[in-house]
Order: sequence, then structure tokens, then C-alpha cells
Amino acid sequence: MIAPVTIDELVVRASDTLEAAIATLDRNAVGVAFVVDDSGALVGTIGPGEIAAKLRAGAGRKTRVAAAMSSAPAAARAATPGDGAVLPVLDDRGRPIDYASAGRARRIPVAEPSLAGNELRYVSECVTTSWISSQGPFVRRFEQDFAAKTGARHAVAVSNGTVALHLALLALGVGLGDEVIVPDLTFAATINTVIHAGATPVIVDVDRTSWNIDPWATAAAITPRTRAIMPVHLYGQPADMDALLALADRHNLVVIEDAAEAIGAAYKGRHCGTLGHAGTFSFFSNKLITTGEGGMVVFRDAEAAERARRLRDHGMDPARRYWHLEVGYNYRLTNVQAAIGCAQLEQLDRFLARKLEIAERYRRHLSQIEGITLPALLDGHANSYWAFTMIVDLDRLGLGRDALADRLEKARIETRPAFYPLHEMPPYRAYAGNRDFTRTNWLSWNGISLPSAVTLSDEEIDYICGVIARLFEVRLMAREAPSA
Amino acid sequence: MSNPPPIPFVDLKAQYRRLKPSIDARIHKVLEHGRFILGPEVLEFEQALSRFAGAREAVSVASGTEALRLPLMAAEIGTGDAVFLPDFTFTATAEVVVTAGATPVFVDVAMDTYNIDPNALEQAIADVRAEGTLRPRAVIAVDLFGLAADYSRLNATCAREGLLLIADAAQSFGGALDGVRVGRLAPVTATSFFPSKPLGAYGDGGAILTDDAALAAIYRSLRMHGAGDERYDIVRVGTNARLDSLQAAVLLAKLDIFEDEILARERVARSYDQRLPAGAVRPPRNARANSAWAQYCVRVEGREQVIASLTRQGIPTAIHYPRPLSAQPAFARFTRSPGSRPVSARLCESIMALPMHPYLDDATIDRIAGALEAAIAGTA
Repeated sequence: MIAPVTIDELVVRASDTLEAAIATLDRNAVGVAFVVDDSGALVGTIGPGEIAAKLRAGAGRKTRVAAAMSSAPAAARAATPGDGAVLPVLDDRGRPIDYASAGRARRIPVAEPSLAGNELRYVSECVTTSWISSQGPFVRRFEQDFAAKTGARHAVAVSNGTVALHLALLALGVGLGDEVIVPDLTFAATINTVIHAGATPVIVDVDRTSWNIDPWATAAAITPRTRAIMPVHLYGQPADMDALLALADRHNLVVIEDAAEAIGAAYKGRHCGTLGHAGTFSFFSNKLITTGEGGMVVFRDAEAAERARRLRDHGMDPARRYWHLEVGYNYRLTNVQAAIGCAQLEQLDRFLARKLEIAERYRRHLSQIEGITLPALLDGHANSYWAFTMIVDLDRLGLGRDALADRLEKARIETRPAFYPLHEMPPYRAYAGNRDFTRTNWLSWNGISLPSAVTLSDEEIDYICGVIARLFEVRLMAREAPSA
Repeated sequence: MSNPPPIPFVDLKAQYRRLKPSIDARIHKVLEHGRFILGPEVLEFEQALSRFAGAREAVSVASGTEALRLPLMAAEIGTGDAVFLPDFTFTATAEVVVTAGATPVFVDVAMDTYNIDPNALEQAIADVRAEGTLRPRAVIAVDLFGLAADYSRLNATCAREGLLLIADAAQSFGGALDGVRVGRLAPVTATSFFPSKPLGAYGDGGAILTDDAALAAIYRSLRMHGAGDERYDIVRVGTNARLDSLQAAVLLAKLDIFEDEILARERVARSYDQRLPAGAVRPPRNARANSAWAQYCVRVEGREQVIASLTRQGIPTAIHYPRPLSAQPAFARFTRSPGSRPVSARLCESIMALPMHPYLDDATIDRIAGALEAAIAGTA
């Protein structure tokens, strides 16, 4: 883990050149440097604004910092997260020995659950009634409430999002000898469960706009052995379901939607996960609603749902205890988890509304920056913005994804890189064929998710965007400042 | 550095070098006997064509367009009738419908074949029936770029709906589906012998293939001004749509090596598949079909820049087709619910044809692949 910026990384000398000041600003990511004289005493501050003004006035790289800095030492004004203020702490001789900043007070997490509703009350109910295992009223209630909320016909609660996928495949009879088409850009659980089910995954490239499975690449990968397509609604952006359902219909395939990241997202008015033959959801703690660990699988067809319920419970005959009809699993969700889920579901609308606000605020700030690609606004696609993700163009911005992530971490902002392409990882290489993965490669190496927790404040978003904007500004200066 | 020689899009000269003795001899024979219209070559060609395709009847006509038009005339399709056809095709498919007085209904294509989507077709037929103003009469399926459409579905749909199914095989003659040659896949098949086609004449030409002898007799009458058994006995309003003897002579010579040329086209297509860079989406294939590979079309992002770069590098390209028919001004008045054919629209934005003929060697394909790689990367 990268340590926050130290005071040494924040200091330049008045006698240093602007080039040195730019390099310091580029490294420290906070957008300001303290200027000291030869005795080490604070004499001013310098930021991208001051340097840009000086460069416009005809200065060059070799100009002294003293000529460009704001000479008034930073006043002890109140720092709010939004303005990115950084305040020096001075010793008795006026030398900066430490600093204070809002960013330092809290590391902004990429995701964080909000448990401020009825969670504690419902969990207490479980404890006081002793219903803490997978039997109990909250499990059934969670399934019913979830189905009602999403418009799913049949919902089966399970212990996590991964087994939800496994169960969907098993309940729909996908197994040995079957090919299942999966996108290259996704969390590995998507492909792992196909392999667990005994089927053969077929990895295809994603679409450049939606970042989801490319229906054209899917079409080209269909063989007589193809049984299923598993679109993933990545980061909350719905996949192109019309095209996929049309393909599936014509080739007699089942569609299993991996909606782990898409609770609250909708395609043409229908909740993601409810358009295909089955859909799966995850309630891992970073998801829009959480049960700690937990998942749900929904089905179009009652029979498949019944089979899933049976498989979830060891394949046991529901009418005859300890009599097993098939080889099953223990994939049950506990009553305690379901209790949290019920409380979370009550807040889903509010969470979703906040996600959309966050996305809107990010979009407002970041769309100004040329070289950043934001999630596409597509007709009929209601993105839930589970993780606000953007693509950074190294050539335009002069700062690659990983370098950006390192600097944001220094500014106490947590980020996540996009997933690695499945086709590059050893366990999955065999499933890539000689297909083209240009677009996944591009997204994978340049995609970065910004903090998107529902607990994120507007001020924090402004702070994050301010840091990003200043970083790019400094980078541009480092490249373009005149040499003299 | 001098530029390498430009690559021809279709190399008819290479083919002529191979066939020169037989083509010259056959043309000379026509000049000798002087029966330029419906001479013995026409009959001989029709018989050879019928044998090749396995269809009972082959009626040669003046062009691929006439081959599409005559079956509509014979079926008396006209005002108030709806004819369903793919949105992503050459204009001739639709223009014959409009000139017959009927209404074309543009149907989206499938992304795994680029051919008419059988589901979308069924939906379009249902929509027209529900609306009640037009009478559904026929479907013209196009075997785009040489790949046969889904005739098992289309035949079933048309039989159930009581519609005439015409296969527009202008680009697919020589191909097959499930081991059955194009020409027997639909009740009526129309093809073209335009010079750049897999089986191309030295001018315009076309043919209609069918197992129905009575229909074939009507086509023969229609192509000859509607003549009955006697030449000046006009039994129906016809037109002049005959293939001339010189073209039949050329086609006869070319038919001798056609099977070999189709195999060569398949080899070229495979070579392209292997050599082209990532970023050029290969044409669709169908394990059940043998394409005639009239065109080898890839899809690329940033097509206009890619084409400009290829042109600079001496590689010719073509866009088949820059816009869906439903977006063409001439068909605007027939376009129902514009914007509802997303696959056709997407194809038109990104499709690009590369040089394709049976005499394309691997060295040339390597050069094209290299140029395309540079064009996509933006380095040439």
C-alpha cells in the first residue's frame, strides 16, 4: 500500500526552478507545494495555477520558483474536503514539519456498506428468536421482497453471487459437453462457475461502448455445441440484451445474466437479471445492497427455480427429509443474512438514487477533461453506476491508469483497476481460441473505478475530481512548458 | 522508395489468361454462326447451369435484376402487395419490388449471418398483417457476400404464411447449404453474372433457377415480350430480358473451371481469416454452409480513416453497403419505423470489402494484412 504524501514531498525551495516545482507537484498529487527559503522557513506556496500564470507571462522551465509563488504563506483557513486545502504545520523557526489536509483525515474507500436502516433491529430479531441458520422467516421474505422489487418471477436466495451463477447453470441443465459464451472482461467468478458446472467456457471480446459482451463476437462464437450465453452487466451498465436474446432465441440457447454488479440497473424498463432465463445477483459487502456475503438467483421458469431450491439444499426431496433426489450442494443463505438483506432492500431506492447523483456529479466534473472516457449513456440502458468507472487515455493525458491510481492513493483516494482480461490468465487461456480481444485489452489496461460508495459525500467527489484535474494539468505543464 | 504496384480488387485478367483459348474459341464460334440472340450457346448454357445447380430449370436472363423482376411479374405481385427483404443489401433487391408497384418491407439482418433475420421477418409479417393495409405476398432472401440465408427457417415461414420465397443468390451462386447447392434452396432462385461475380460474364447477365417447369415456361415467355408458343403470339405483357449468345459463350467457358474457382475463393478467405490483424472482424461463417465468397468483408472501427490509409498504400476497398436501404432517400416513403433495424445500421457503419478473387496469392494477402494492420493502428 502506498503511504500518504510526506511533508518532504510537499516542499520546494524558492531558489529551485519551475521544472523542479512541476516535478514535485506531479509526484505529490495534492496540487500544492510549500516554498521554503535557504533556512527552510516557509515563504510561500506554489500550485499549478501560479505556474500556469507565470508560463503564460513568458516564463520557462528554468524560471525560479521565487518568481512564481504566492508569497503570502497559507493562512490558517478552514479546510473542507472540496477545496483540497493543505495546511502547513510549522516549527518555531517557521519551517514546515507536517501538514494537515481533509484528504488525510479519511481514506476515501472505493466502496463501503451503509447499514443505517433496520439491519440491527432485524438481526436482533433473529437472535432473540434463535432463527440464525438458513431456516427462518427472513429468507422467504427476502426472496419475496427481492422478486417484487425486481419483477423477477422466481427468486432463490443463496450464500453468495458465485454459487448463484453455479446454481443457475445447474438448474438450467448446462453441463458437460456444453459451450457457454462469456465476456472477456468480468470478475473471474463468471467463468469459474462455467468450469465448475463441467461446461466449456468460450471467451469473447466486449463492446467498446457498453464494455459488455459483444453480441457480434457472441454470434461469431456460436457452434452446434453452444448451450448458453452469460452476459455480465459490468459496473451496473446493462448489456445489449435485445441482440443477445434474439441470438439465443434463434439458436435455442439459454441466457444467464450475471447481474452481480447490476442491482438497480434496468434494460428497456426491465430490471437486469430478469430478462434472460436466469439472472444472478451478489450481496457482497461492496454491492449496492449487501448481506455481508450472499446472493440471489432468479428464474423465468418455475421448474428451474424448484430445481435450484432442491440443489441449494443438498438435492434433498422437500417432502421427504434425508431422501436425496440428486447430488446437491449447501448453498443456503442464513436467516441472519436475509434479515440484513430485507433491511437493505428497504433502502435500495435511496441507495440507487445516491449512486445516480454520484455518477452525475462525477460526469459534470470529469467530462471537461479530454482524454477521459466516461460510461456511455445508451438509449434504454439504465445504468446503476455500481462502480463509477472511467477509461484514461495515456497518450492524451500523459498519465497512465496505474500511475494515476498511485497518485490518487497518495491523496488518500482508493481506486480499483478494471479486471484483467480473462483470456490472459493461465487458467483460462485455453478458452480464448484465436479470437480477437482488442477492446477488452484496451478497457482492462486503461479502466479505473473511482470511489462510488453511497456514503461518499458531494465534497469528497469534488475533492477527488479536483485532484484528478490538477494531476492532468501538472502533467500537461511538465510536457509543454518552454525549455528556457 | 517506389510504391508497390496497386492490387486489383477483382483480377479478371488472371482468369482470362487461364481461359483464353476456350473463351476465344467460343466467342469466335458465335461470330461465325451469327445467332446473337437465343443462339445455341444460350440453350447449352442453361442446360449446363441446371446440371451444375441441380435445379430442373435454368432460365437465363439479361441481368441479375431481371432475374429478380421476372418472378415478381410471373406471380403478378403489384399494387397493395408487401414484399419482405433484408435492409442490408444492394438496391436491386428493393427496386424490383417498387417498379412492380408493390411495397418493400425492410427487415433487419442477423448479426451472425448478415442475412435476413428469420425472427425479425416473422415479426414483420405479423405487423403487416395486423396493420391490414398491405397483403404479404413474397419474401426475397439475399445470400449476402456469398453466404446462404437460413433457408430451412425461411421455407417453413413462407410455407406457413403462404408467401413466395425468392432467393436472391446474386452473390452466392456456386455456394451450398447443408450440402445442397444454391439454386435448389428456395422455390425460385435468382442469380447474377455481373462481371465481378464469382461466375461473371463479360457484360450483364443473370439466371432464374427453379424445379417448377410451368413457372420456368412463364419466365421464358416474359423475357421474350410475353410471347406464347408462337413468337408473335403475345399471351402476357412481358419485357425484353434475354441473355445474349456472346455472354452465354463466355459463361460456358467459365463454368468449366467454376468449381475450382469456388474452392480457390474458400482458400483465399481462410488465408485472410488467418492473416488479418486483430481489430478486423472476420466475415461470418456457418458450419453448415459453403460460401461462394463473392466478397470478403470485414468490420473495422474508424472505417473511413482505415480506407484512406489503405488507399494510400495501394489497397483498393469497397463499401457494401454504406447505408441500409431503409435509410436511402429513394425508399424513404416505404420505411416503416425507422431506426428499428439496429444490426443493419451497425453493419453499414463498419463494413468494408477487401480484394477478393480466386487468383489472390498469400504474398498479396500478407501485404493487404500488413497494410490493414498499419491502417488500424493509425501508423500508415
